[in-house]
Amino acid sequence: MFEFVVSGIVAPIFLLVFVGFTVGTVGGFIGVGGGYMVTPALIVFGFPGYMASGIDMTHIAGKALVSTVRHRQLGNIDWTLALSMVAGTMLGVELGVRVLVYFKHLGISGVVLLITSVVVMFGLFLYTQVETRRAHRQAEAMAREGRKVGREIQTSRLPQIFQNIPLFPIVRCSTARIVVSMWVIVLIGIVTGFLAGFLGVGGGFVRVPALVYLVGASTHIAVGTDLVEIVVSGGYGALRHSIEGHVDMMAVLFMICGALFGAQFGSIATAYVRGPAIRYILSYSLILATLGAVLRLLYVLTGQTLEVLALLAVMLTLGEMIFLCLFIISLVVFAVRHKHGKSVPPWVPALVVS
Amino acid sequence: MSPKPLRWFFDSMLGYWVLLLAVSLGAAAAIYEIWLKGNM
Amino acid sequence: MVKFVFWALVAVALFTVAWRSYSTGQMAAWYYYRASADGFAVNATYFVNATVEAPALLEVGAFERIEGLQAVPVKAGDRLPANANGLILTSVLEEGKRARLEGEAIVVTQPWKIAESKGFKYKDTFKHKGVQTYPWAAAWNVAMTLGIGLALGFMAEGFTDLLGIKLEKIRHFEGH
Repeated sequence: MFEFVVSGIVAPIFLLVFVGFTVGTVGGFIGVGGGYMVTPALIVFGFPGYMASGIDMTHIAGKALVSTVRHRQLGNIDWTLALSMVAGTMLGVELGVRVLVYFKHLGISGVVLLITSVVVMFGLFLYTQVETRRAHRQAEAMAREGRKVGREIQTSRLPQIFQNIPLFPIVRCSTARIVVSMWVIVLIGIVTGFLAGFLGVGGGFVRVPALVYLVGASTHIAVGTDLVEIVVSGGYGALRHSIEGHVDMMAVLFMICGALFGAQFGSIATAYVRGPAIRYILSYSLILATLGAVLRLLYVLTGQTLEVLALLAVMLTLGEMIFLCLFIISLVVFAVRHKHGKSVPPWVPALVVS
Repeated sequence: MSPKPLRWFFDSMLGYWVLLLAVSLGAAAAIYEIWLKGNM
Repeated sequence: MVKFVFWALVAVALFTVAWRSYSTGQMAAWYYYRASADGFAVNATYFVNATVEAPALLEVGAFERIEGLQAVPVKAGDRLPANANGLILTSVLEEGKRARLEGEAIVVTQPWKIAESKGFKYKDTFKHKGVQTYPWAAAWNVAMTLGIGLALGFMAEGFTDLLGIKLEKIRHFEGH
């Protein structure tokens, strides 16, 4: 147990390191910050609600930077794409937060926002899940026909629409091999940033699908590039939260210690899998987060009387982190086994690289 | 005892998903019991 | 080898700076820096178990360091006394529901209330209320976080190089 002088509580170091590790693994693999899992976990550990967000945001900036270094080595970052999006993302987040404040003044309740975030996350889950299954089946069919299956398979036609928009200036993203209007990138940055700021849903899990399905980047590049965005927006968020007095650095540092190992593992794990595997994990995180939000919504709608709902929400939050981490570890284990000719479940070969 | 029901947890992606979720929720329950009960 | 050792040393140095900031009390002093509103500086940990039946009595005075049940009157912008971790705002005292001023003492009857964030409940105490942090502490936090993130990232890269693990760039467009 450690005394967190700034937060004014005593909490076990192990739990913070553990959360840092699991969320670091997930974040390094699917390119999210993981705030929707960490913030509730910190509150449950005893940190005051207003500090949980600040501690989380600050640790995300550090953890994302650890992941970014590794993704850079793996060639998963398109710097042109990343830097073009940054300004749009920051603008979007600022707009989102201001509109949220305005809506709150108008008396729009937290319930409406919770419902909206459930709808957005569920919609993203559906699209990602359906497309990824189609891609998975296509990879399996190609393998059966003896054709070589590449690192990425993506079946959405949306990128072609967006890449054909001819607005000047056009940027050439050499790593991602995309030629697209700068305005498309900036607009996607603004919209994803807005959703993050307004609904408080993680920027990562809107931005990675947007980069894959709208801009047309490969999943690995979307993950690496998105992590760069997270460093920038996380760093800015960390500054704002610190000024407000919402950050306890000792909590941040313990989590980053766990994230050191987790982020390494998650980032390196991307080298073992194909794009659809990453998109599956992303879709699972979306559906579990949606379920968590639905539980919280039910708890609020039933007048906060059914404590069992609150308990289930806690279990789901912690369980979700562990689940995603275990699934990623499984994929790596299966990939290594498959490479050495050992038996793996039948759905694995199309998802991993041999 | 037929091994078929158990095989579903590995042979089917959904089955594996269910298996891992059960393990994870169990671990979450254990963490809650050991460390967090007092806080809530 | 050089890469690993260099970045490991940077990371250790940064962690040491952070640890010293914590253990010497500088982190706390920078955090609980000034009052952002008028009220009484207190250390809310000492009276967290007060109730209406057994209220806490805080002695009001110009103490340099708060030990136990004491309260120091402050105005917005004043430096906080040592060991303070929050303010009982004048507005709270005027309302009288959670605490009230009685002569030279503050009577606290409701040291915390249940608040909610992200759908999870927590105890909202007087801690952190009315506290303004040292402005440069925010920059220190961000610099420290990003510095440690960068150092750990490169240290890990150096480590895998040291172990001879070759991590090549992923060929994203193979097979297309």
